[in-house]
Amino acid sequence: MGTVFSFDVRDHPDRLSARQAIALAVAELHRIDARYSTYLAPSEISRHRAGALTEAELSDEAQKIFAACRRLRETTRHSFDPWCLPGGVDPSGYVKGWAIGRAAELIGAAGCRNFSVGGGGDLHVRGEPSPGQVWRVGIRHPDDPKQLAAIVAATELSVATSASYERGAHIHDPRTGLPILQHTIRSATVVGPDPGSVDAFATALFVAGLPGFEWLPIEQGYHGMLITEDDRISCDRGFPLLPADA
Amino acid sequence: MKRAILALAGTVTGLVGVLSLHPHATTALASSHPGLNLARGAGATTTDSAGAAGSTSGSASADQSSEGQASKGKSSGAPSSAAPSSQAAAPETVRTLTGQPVETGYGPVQVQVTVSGKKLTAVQVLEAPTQSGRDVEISNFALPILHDEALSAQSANIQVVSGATYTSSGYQQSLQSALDQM
Repeated sequence: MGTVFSFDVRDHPDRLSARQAIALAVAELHRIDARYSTYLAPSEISRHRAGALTEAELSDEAQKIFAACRRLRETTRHSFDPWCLPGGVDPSGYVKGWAIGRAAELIGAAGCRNFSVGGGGDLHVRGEPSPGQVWRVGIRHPDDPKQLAAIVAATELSVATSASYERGAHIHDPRTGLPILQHTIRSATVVGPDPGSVDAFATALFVAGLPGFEWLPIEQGYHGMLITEDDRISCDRGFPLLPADA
Repeated sequence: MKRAILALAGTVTGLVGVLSLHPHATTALASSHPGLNLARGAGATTTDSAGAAGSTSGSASADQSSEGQASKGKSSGAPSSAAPSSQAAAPETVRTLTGQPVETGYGPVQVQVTVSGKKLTAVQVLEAPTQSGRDVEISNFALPILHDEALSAQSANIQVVSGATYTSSGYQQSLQSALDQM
């Protein structure tokens, strides 16, 4: 897959313990990759997609993932739907976030309280980057991979962004000759407590656009932000956005 | 459009309240709540009657809306046993009637009612875009312009970046890569 994961452990002055915690998390990510990567023919998911394994024959863990995907499909009114993709069911849009959650669990279980872990654009932060501070999470600017559109502040949070960063060709109104500003979604970011859900919701919100706020479970702590083709940001009031000069 | 949903839910529950207060005034109900068509004879209908419930919602719902589509999904048919003048003789058959789902622009709304004899005993909104009826306020503002107000990693003092999926090659160009080297 080639997804790069970054780990940033801030506590543990004992660097060996931090490295050991990260090593455990990395091993878990490899295990998850071996089981759920659709790019690996012998993986459990590939064998299921090829028809060699029925869903009932999948591991308990895989079945729980499928169950979570079904709930998310229902919540998002099928804007997140691993079953509608050609080639067979593909839960990657949930598994990536879930994997980050598993990595975070292991790092936490190893005794770390202040860290961030991320991969493929999704991430999880916990604790403080330094005493008395909150994590400041940048959200990539759609026009420049080295710039930010916004900053989110968090103590413990999962963040996921789904995007297509190429600008579409402007459609011109033949009556005026002026470009019609689109509300096409360029990127969708969702924050919330569960990393797998956040990943699925970001994918779904990207697909659904503004109407996605109808089903996004804000009361459960999930908040969303959209960047549209007309260079506007739309987010629900609970989205933990920091002002640009903060 | 969300108001339409709230008005609909308010209308439906309001009707239940009104009916339970006037359990015997079937004829009066039929005329003041024509949308429900309680006075119709045999041949239950499940088609909606446009506009009728708009007038009934005025008394019941807290969020009054005159949008026609708020009314459409509500009326869900008549018990065929209802006869306006013979309420004492009407058998207490219990029927569950389901209205047609109505597309509102934010998703479909579908209502189911349970009628016992001529009395509406239960109403359930089967499908509504916002089940909790919550209000979602969306803030909308301008994306920072690059090179003028752009937030760069150093001035913004961030530790980590959320961006769309990047592979190992894309990672090199990413801001996260720059942060990881700091």
